[in-house]
Amino acid sequence: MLKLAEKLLKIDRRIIYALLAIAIIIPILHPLNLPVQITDEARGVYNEIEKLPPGSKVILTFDYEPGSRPEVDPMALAVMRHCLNRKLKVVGISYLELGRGNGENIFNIIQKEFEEKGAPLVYGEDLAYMGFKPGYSAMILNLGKDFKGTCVTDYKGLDAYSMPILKDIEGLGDFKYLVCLHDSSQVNTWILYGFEIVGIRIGACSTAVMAPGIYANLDAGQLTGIVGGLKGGSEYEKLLGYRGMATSGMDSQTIIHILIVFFILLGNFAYLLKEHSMKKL
Amino acid sequence: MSFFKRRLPLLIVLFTGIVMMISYYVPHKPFSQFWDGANKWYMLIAGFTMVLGVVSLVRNHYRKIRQGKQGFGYSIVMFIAMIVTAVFGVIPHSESSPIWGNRSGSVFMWIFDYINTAAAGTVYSLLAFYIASAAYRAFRVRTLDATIMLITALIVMIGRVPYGEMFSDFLTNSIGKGLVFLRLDNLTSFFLNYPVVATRRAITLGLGLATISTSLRVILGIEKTYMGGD
Repeated sequence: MLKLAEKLLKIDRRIIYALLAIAIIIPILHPLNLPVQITDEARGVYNEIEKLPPGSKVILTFDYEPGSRPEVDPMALAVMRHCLNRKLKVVGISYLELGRGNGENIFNIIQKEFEEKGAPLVYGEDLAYMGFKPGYSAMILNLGKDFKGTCVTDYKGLDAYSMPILKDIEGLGDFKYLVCLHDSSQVNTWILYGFEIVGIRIGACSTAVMAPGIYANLDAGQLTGIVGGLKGGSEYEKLLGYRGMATSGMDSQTIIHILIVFFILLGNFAYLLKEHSMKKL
Repeated sequence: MSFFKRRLPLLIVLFTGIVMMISYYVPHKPFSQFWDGANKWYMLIAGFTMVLGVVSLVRNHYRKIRQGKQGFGYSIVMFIAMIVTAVFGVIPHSESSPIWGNRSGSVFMWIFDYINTAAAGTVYSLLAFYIASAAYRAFRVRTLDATIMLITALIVMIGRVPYGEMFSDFLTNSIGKGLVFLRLDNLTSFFLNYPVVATRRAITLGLGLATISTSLRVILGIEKTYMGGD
């Protein structure tokens, strides 16, 4: 028994890595199409967008780094599709240098997608992307007072003052809703200087690691909802009625979670077995 | 000299700190003007911090190459990457030369999509392998605290994936509706909405109080480490 326990405890880490790699790759090649249940947290963001009348302006903040793209991009795409299908007007911005490119990619994908389905979007009228603006908290405070004066130009260098989408926008408070796509604590800054000072309603699309940390904000009513990680993304895709990147990623994530749980149980079984055998000796 | 080096910065911090505090609660002239002006200044200064970052990066890596320190080859790679990215990104984009600038189709965006994103994603995804290995080796039921943490982690991990939801459905639909409190998705939701929220609030309040006390120490000139030296 002791020998078995020791053998299990000294298992080569490369075996664990290989099993994990298989668990990731197989569901990608052969999707399991597992069902997804929708949580109230994800519904909180969806319902808020559903409530807005067509023509309302929504702001999306691309506050995540390239490493988080596989997790956050599906949420960004889903939220943008939702807004634009509901004829809402979308303005994007990023307060991270590296978030700028993420936003640009998402805007390009969405514009191309709508063009292909015969409903082309007019840049500057239906959607606009302001790009990266420096200053973190000060930038948000300035956006609250003078949106166009703070942005000045969009990511292409076009004059913000001449954009029809920003015509009746004075400050951040003129937007009906803000969705923060983030992979760190950026949403807290938007809450502090956006929600608390300007009063803009906020929804969060977070990486799975960050989501538990903002449940207190949800409980306090500072957020309308949280779309957390691939799970949240897959819930949002289900709400919109399609299976996208988040849903297909959930198959791999499910198997990995089960595999890690199995490893934890096996490790503990071996540990307890060894302890038990040592006591007997 | 001591006045300009030590006293004047302290006086600026004292004045700015007190006026900004008052401005937050008194949104009227002249405080509102000071508030707006200071925030615009902050944005400009934040932009310039990038210059400071680049200068510091160049100095450190240049020193490493000049002294031939171990791993100086990586510094050369860093210089090449920085110069290539900066040159392609800074030269303005135009319809006739779309490879320049930082818009779609430019070399800069190609680097962003196919080098930066790919490399960052790879490093990030390696975490899954380390976590799996660490979970197998270190996550043990050694103490009561560790056992509680382990059980909670197992419930949340399974409760957040479809199989957990399917198992919960089986539990309540096939075994008995009375077992609804054992549904893994409900338990996960409970953990996230109550213990996590309570703990998070305690941490946030602690952080807030610590921030206030540190800020007051800086404003009143007690904490001077940001000036260098003591």
